[in-house]
Amino acid sequence: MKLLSRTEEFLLLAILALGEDAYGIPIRKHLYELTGKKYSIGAVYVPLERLEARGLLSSYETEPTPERGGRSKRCYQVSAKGISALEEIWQLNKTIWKSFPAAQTMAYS
Amino acid sequence: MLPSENPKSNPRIAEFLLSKILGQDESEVVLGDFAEEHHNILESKNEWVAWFWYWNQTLQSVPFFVSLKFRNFLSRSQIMTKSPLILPSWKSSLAMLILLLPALFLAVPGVTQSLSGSPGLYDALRTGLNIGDINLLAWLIHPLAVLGGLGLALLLGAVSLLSITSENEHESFVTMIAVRKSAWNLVPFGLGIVLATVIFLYMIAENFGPF
Repeated sequence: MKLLSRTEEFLLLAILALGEDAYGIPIRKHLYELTGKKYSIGAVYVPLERLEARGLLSSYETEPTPERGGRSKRCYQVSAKGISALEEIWQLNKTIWKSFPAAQTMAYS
Repeated sequence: MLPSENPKSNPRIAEFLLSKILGQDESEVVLGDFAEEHHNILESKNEWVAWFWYWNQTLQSVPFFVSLKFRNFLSRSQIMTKSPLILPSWKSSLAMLILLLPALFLAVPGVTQSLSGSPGLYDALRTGLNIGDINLLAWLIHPLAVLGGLGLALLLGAVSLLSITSENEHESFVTMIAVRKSAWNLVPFGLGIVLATVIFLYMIAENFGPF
């Protein structure tokens, strides 16, 4: 399986953390809390589309709401394939960090 | 629209721009996000901040949405070029032969002279193509006419003979090049390659060869 990019990894983690409230605006806010980086709405939607096309995410649309100008939300859920991709990147990160004990000590000190 | 004109609404031009780029299905969800955040900013700050936020987000997001639409377009479509691109086969072969004439007038007398040792054909052509003071052969075998005609003929031949198909498959492009089995095009194209080779070898022999 193709490895996740850093942004894709953050997005999947944000969606997992948000649970049922995982749609554009909260995802963007959660990304900002995770990384300290302000993503534009477009910068969030493009990798979301890519992840959905790869089968790592699924989505459904809710009923329209007045605060959204009568428009619906698209909520995302991480699929089993998405969880496997996250596990794979986690294992890879662990392996990489294990081979640099000095850097690991430095990072956690 | 400036916020002072209609403080509670989303900037119409920005909304229109986004909806045009995204298309109907996508714009429903994305514009909903824009509207929700715009509404939140209006509640917590003021209309100018909300207006500025909307435009700032629009301008930052447009390149992403354009790239998304482009990628979706590529994944749905096939880019295909079908031969013949320019002319039907007999017309393109006739055009190729006309373009190859200067190279023929240069190469054929040159080869016969090299083989027989006498410039008979060249002299005959020069005499035959003399009209008054104008020597047509000199114009015909001008390097620009020879090399330009040869280059155009080979290009036309390649375009007429080759069929290039590029398809998007599993996020990568698969390109196929097929050669048409058309004698009309193959013969002048082959002749063009032979003439180009002869002229190239002749140039090497003339300039660098030990002969």
